[in-house]
Amino acid sequence: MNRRTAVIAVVLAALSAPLAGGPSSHVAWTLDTVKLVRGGDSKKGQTLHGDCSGCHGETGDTDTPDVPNLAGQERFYIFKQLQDYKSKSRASSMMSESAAPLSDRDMADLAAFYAAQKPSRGAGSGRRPDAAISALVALGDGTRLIPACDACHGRRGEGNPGFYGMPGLRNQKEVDLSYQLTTFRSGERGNDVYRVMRDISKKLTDDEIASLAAYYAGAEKKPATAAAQEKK
Amino acid sequence: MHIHPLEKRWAAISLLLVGTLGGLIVYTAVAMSIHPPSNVEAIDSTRLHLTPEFSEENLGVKREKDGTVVARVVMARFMVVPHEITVPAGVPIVLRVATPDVVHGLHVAGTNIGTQVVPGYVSQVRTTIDFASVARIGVRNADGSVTVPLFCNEFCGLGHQSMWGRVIVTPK
Repeated sequence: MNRRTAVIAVVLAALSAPLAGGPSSHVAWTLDTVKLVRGGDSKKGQTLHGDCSGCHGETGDTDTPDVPNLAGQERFYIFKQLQDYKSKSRASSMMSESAAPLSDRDMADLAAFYAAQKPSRGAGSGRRPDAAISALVALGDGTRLIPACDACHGRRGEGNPGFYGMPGLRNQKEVDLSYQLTTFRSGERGNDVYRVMRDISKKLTDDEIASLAAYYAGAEKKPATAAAQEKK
Repeated sequence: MHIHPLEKRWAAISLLLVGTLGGLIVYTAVAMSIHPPSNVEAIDSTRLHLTPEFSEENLGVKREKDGTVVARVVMARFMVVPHEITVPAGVPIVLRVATPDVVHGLHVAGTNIGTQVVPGYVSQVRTTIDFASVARIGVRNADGSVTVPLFCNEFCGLGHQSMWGRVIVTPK
């Protein structure tokens, strides 16, 4: 099964190499895949993580601004990204190379390891969001047909395990978050099934992207009221 | 406590009625399964984006070889894909809708298009849009077409209220 999946993945990757046509991701959340990811072994994942720790740090978190934090991330999201790197649905020569030798089970084990780690830090300016950004995050924008960010990414970006393949956003880096939104907007990153993030990011202004990135990077910090009290 | 025998009998009858109706609901749900009323056509929702019909590129409005106009739409948490479709009024059209996640409802204002969209099934609506009735409630565009909203009318989660789209109806 594993080998067959790998062969299919390689063939599909070859077919979809120039990003033109083909599905945005080959990952399908079938019962088997969901069970595989849920059953990931974080101890085995820890061993595999040895090769990743150079860039991603001891527990999946690092200070390097453009390397995403992985500790505490949704396991389905990590699994999907590894699959997408391997099939080249998400472009990164570095990550495609790293994901290439991993089996489906390896990816599930790694995902279980990162999901089990305690997130260490957010790396944002901690800027408090203005009313417009808070509304966008919690309610969306009806006139531009933008759904609330919270609806999929969880309240304050803490993730939503019921939404397979969607990431938590808190504890991420401001630089990385705005880079991801910008590359979704340009289409450079296009592994979002049914163009959900590509379509949303096209409707965001540069300023909104910057504010959203700052908001989620700072969301791990104390709630706004506590921060305000401290100032007094 | 004293209850009049007649009252007891009426209470028993009403309880029996409630029980029978409740039982009927459970029976039809379990034995006959829940499915969209319009069209029973199964599809694997988990692999929806990998199917040829509901792949990203194939969504939207197309004229099939036999001349029928077919609009393919995916309702996924919390977007209608594509956001905007253009369909002609006065000719028979077919709307085929599917979802990769949970139950949604598709409603197009000013038309009789209204269907549940159930994971595991393709919902299909055959209809002819009456231009006069969409023109009464829609927004008229410069080119003479009319835009009406399309929305999810079945609560599907926290982003339900954002599931809107637009249908541009062109006159015959």
